[in-house]
Amino acid sequence: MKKFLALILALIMVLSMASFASAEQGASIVVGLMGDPGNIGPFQGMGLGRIGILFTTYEMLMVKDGDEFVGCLMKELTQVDDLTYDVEIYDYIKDQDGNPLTANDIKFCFDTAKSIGNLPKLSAVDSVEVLSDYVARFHFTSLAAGDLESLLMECPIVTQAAYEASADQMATDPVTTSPYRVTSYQTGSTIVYEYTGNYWQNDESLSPSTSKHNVDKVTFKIIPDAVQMTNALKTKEIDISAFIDSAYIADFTAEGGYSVTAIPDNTSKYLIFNTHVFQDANLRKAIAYGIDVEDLILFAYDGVALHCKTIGNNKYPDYVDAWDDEEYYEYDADQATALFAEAGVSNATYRLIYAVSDQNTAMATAMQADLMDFGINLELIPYDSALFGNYKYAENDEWDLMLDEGGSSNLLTNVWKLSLDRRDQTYGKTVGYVVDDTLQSLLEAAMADNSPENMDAFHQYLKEQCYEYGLLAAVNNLAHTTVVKEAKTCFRGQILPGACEY
Amino acid sequence: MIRYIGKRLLWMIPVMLGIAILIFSIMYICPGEPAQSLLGPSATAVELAAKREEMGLNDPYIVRLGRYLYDTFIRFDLGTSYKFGTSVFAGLMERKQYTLVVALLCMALQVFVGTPLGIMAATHHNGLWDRVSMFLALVGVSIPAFWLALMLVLIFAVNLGWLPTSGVANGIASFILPCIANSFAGIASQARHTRSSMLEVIRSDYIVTAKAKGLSSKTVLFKHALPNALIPIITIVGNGMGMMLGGTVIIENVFAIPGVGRYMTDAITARDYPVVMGGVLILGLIFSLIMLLVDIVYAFVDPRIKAQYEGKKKAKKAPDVGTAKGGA
Amino acid sequence: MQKAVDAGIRNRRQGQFGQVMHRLRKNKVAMIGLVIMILLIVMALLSPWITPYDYAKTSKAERYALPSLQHLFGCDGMGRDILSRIMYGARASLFLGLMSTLAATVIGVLLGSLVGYYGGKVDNIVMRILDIIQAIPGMLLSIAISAALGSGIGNTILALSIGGVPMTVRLLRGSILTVRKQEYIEAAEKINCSKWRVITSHILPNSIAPVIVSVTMGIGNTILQAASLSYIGLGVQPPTPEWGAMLSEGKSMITKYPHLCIFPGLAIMIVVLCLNMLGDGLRDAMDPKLKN
Repeated sequence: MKKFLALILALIMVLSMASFASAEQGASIVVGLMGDPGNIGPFQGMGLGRIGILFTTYEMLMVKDGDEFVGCLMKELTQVDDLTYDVEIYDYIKDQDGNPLTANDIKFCFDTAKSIGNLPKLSAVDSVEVLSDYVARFHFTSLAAGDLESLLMECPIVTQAAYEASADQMATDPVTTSPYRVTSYQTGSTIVYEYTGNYWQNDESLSPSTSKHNVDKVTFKIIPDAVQMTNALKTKEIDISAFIDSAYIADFTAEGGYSVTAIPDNTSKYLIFNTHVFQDANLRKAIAYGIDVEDLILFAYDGVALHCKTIGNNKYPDYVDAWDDEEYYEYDADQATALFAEAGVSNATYRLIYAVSDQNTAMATAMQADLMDFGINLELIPYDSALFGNYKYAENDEWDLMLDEGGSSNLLTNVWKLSLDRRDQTYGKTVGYVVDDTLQSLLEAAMADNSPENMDAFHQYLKEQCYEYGLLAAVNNLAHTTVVKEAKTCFRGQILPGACEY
Repeated sequence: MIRYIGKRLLWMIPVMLGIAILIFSIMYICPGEPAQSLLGPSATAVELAAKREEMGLNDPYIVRLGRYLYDTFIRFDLGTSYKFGTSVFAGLMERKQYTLVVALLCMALQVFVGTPLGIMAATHHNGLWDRVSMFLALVGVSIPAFWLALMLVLIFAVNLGWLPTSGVANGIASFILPCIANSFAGIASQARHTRSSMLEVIRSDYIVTAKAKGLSSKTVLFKHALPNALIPIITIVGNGMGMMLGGTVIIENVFAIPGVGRYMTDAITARDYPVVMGGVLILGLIFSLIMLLVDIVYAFVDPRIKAQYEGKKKAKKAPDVGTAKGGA
Repeated sequence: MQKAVDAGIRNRRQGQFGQVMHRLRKNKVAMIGLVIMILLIVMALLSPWITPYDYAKTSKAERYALPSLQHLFGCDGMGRDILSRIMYGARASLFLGLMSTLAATVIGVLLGSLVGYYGGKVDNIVMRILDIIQAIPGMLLSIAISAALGSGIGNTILALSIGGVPMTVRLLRGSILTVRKQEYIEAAEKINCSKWRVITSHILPNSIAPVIVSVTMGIGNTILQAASLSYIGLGVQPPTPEWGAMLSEGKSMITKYPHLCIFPGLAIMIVVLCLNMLGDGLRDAMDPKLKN
């Protein structure tokens, strides 16, 4: 028995040594990813895992490079009329199997994506018409400000030939135009990309940061547990991660060979009032005044988060900078008390629903503690994400207050739209059950033309009515070892391994 | 016995059908939005409603149930995962190897460490060994698996650097910490159960008789006491094996092991209906088979039980067997 | 006539129960377990009046405070006193843990003795139904219970206990199968003892041991499980403390501030320990072989 055990132990030791020794060297990087991308095929919906690998896997007609939209596959964009645009692509694009990419493939991709239906924003694309080998004409059903660019970025492009040759609609082995090709995909664990060596865009100056290939091999390692993510970085099993819990940031010092960057999260948190319950604007304002957002930031984010001044953060191009200095329901106990009195409310109980996460629970608990001072009792109802999605859009009153979050790839109006556009709800009211024609028309005006005046008009009206109350935007912590000289991220705060400097 | 096994295998059919209908009905009444995970968090209510309609989720219960049963039992098709876009069966097959490795290693640890601990405790009843091993067992079941897991990682991976923190890329080395963390509770409960049933048997008349006859205590222990104490141990091992093949979510999450447990839990959270229903069915089948195996093993360990399986007529004769054994 | 017999049986039964209690009382270890359990329950009941601080009171200055004289167990991420939260959390955790364990055991023992004693068709049908139920992941059963029956303490106990039933039944069935055909059972049946009496005073005492072990070991797990129910509409909602939830809240801070996890973990451990001490004593007291 003892001999047997000793043998097993020895075997384990040898095996583990061997496997460690075989870790290879060279121009490669291991990126820690928190979410599981699942299906990495081109026409899938967005999720935490997918946004991490999106730009390494695919190229689109346009991409957002830093703060600007630039052509990637697209060489030139010409407006024909309000809802019609001609897109010309480079005439030397080839995918990783050598299939040339033409306008036919553009049409194929948009048509397929629309019919699969996982990218619902594409319903704004009425049809794509092939004008010549390299020019496609896009007919849109409607175009709000900023929509054009984000629609051209929404759909990853692959060749029809490669897509049809794939046995599983590219779910595990996509053939794309990107400089990196998936060489191994172990579902739920690792995805390995390698530089193909013959990227189609030979003019470096024309390729955006999303298409750079400064490293030969990229391995994405899926680590769902936050503590384990920091452990993996400590042991250098991963070189870089954008998901380092703020409590552990202090462990990654410059002396230890780490660099840390704070990256504002694309999404921001806000509070939605059920206006059936909160009919009185004073009551809504009283709640807003009674919540100390600084408390929320401290308890949920260790004091590091952006205090919002509207629904959404201040990183969007159509954000009006003057709002930064405005008064926005900053915590004021006297005001809150006065407004509660005016609304005639004391000792009320409200149900606050939120999607369960450590941060949301801390925020909800902090709000509950704040409002307790005014005799307001919040009943906290956390839900798992599927149930939250279910109750969020429920037509009947399943909640009184909702802690929600949202972000957009381009404009602030698209953050507002998520919960405040009546046209997007099945029951013709905003998520908070508001039916307010002024609000709707101001929103539509801002969406059609996001001039500072229009933006301000909507913002001020929303602030005055206080149908929703903007809270905070999280800041993500990106940390990396000396393998990377300078980290580069996409607009969603995700690492672009090919664009990092080594 | 063969007849009994055949009958039990035939019983599998209604059981599978029962599982299919039950899991389908549960998924039907469970609130939650499968379209949400497909479209991402920024999908609006209108977009979600359209997707639901397209996925056929708005059809009446009976239509969807009929479609599901037809696909599953007539076409033998478990469907395609919403999230992964690959077939559910392939998805399970891809993940089963990791779960299998963890389950087998854990069960081995549980049986080969837990049982000796338990026997030791029983033979030294109320002695120091008993106290120490039982205290360890209690600590074992009370420590949450994630806590133990993270502590082990901190010591052996982060500080000592002997083993990887997570993932499955390093062969067997990747599974050492997960298995230790995961089997702790199993070892503990195995030890407790072994001790308890050994104590029970050691006190019974025939062991006392055997001892009185002057047989060596080793012979008594392994030839007479252990086989009679095995029934609860077999139950525990069988049940544990069945459960572990369903995957251990906590360990798989902490150690980033792409096993069946994470596949299923993620599917439950995202309401990935095909994965949940297909997975439950396959795991249910495996579980039922293991339970059958447990019943068969019972019969081999204890002939009296075998007699009971073989129907009423023969059972009348069974007491002879029982007496013979009992009086040994 | 029949009445007289029944009364006689009842007397004897009470006598048996009395004997078990008498033997249990003589077992020092079991008594220590019992006393600590009672103390914990009393602490839980009195907790609204005896906690040193308000369990929900947050404090910016004392976030993650380490154990000190002011806060014996330290403070959590919201600056709340962990000792107070553990004392108050005992209410939910002990109640849910004990009640659902009890419910699972009672149902499991009833079903288990039924299938073990009768065997044959009854055994086959009940066990196959259990196969079906056991195939469904516990989390899904809980979501379904919450969706179909709504929230509430009763449904939470149902959700927590349903998973424990099959194991109890299987353990008991296995043991009964071995004692079922032993001569003293046959003898009892031959002298026309009622089935109820055969089961309760001959079969169960000889086969209950594995169930006691499994149940007393399982309670820690049940307490931990309660935490995951709170976001499917069951269980205890924050900020009301509960040990399982305290542990999972402290999880992401485990290597930074281990005291967030250690104290609720210890609390669970003490409960498991006491119940096991009590369970061991109970098993010995019920064991007919140890009567003298």
